[in-house]
Amino acid sequence: MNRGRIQAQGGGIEKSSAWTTNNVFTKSMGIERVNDLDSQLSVAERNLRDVALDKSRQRINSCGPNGIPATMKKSFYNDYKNKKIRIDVEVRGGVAFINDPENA
Amino acid sequence: MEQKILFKNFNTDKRVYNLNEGYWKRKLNSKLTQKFSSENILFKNYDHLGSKIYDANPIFTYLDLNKRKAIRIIQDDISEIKTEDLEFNNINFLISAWLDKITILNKNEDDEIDELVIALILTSETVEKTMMIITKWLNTELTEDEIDELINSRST
Repeated sequence: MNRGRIQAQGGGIEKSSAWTTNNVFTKSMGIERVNDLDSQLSVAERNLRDVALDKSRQRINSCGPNGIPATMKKSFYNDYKNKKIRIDVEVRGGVAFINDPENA
Repeated sequence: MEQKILFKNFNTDKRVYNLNEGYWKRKLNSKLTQKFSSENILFKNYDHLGSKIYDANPIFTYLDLNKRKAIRIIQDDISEIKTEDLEFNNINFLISAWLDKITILNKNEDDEIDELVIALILTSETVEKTMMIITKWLNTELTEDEIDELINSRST
């Protein structure tokens, strides 16, 4: 089972977009989850994490063609003086972010 | 005053990165409750083909299942930070730490473990702070406020 989540943490919030699937979980699906989380954030919450969200997207897109295996957790932040306000990318089971079929 | 950055080219030179990684293992081996081995690596920063990811996010991980505690150290690359954002006199710019949970697979079941995450720019001061936080956290329970106090305490 491929499982994981993208999570916004710090500053009193904990919002996430998760996946659990027996099917492959591709890079574009990972980007969709980041975008879904992005859409859950208020303007103020997004302003504190917009760079971190972009770093998360870049990290997903720059994974090798066969993706990232569990367990894996990476944290990204906008402000280096306030790193607790962050986006976490967590692969909790299986594999995530393999190349989409057209890029395979 | 600009502090000396250790292993400054870790993000562009794989040899330096590997030396940097070894540095953390050596520094922490004496502080960890279990000797560092493949058994207590929380996870490897590798892709699915086994190729190492040289992004230092994280550069060190540790898992102590007996204590139900995990450690993740992220090392920031100052070359990715805008010059106007560099604040070497601000300890909260150089190092930050927080508590989280991480779910691992233990005996084929999900197991949620307490996780200490430290994100830093590598200087002798942030290494000293990291060692202090990890030593205390492995031996007692710390809150995030107490961790912040350790970070902001005057170095000895």
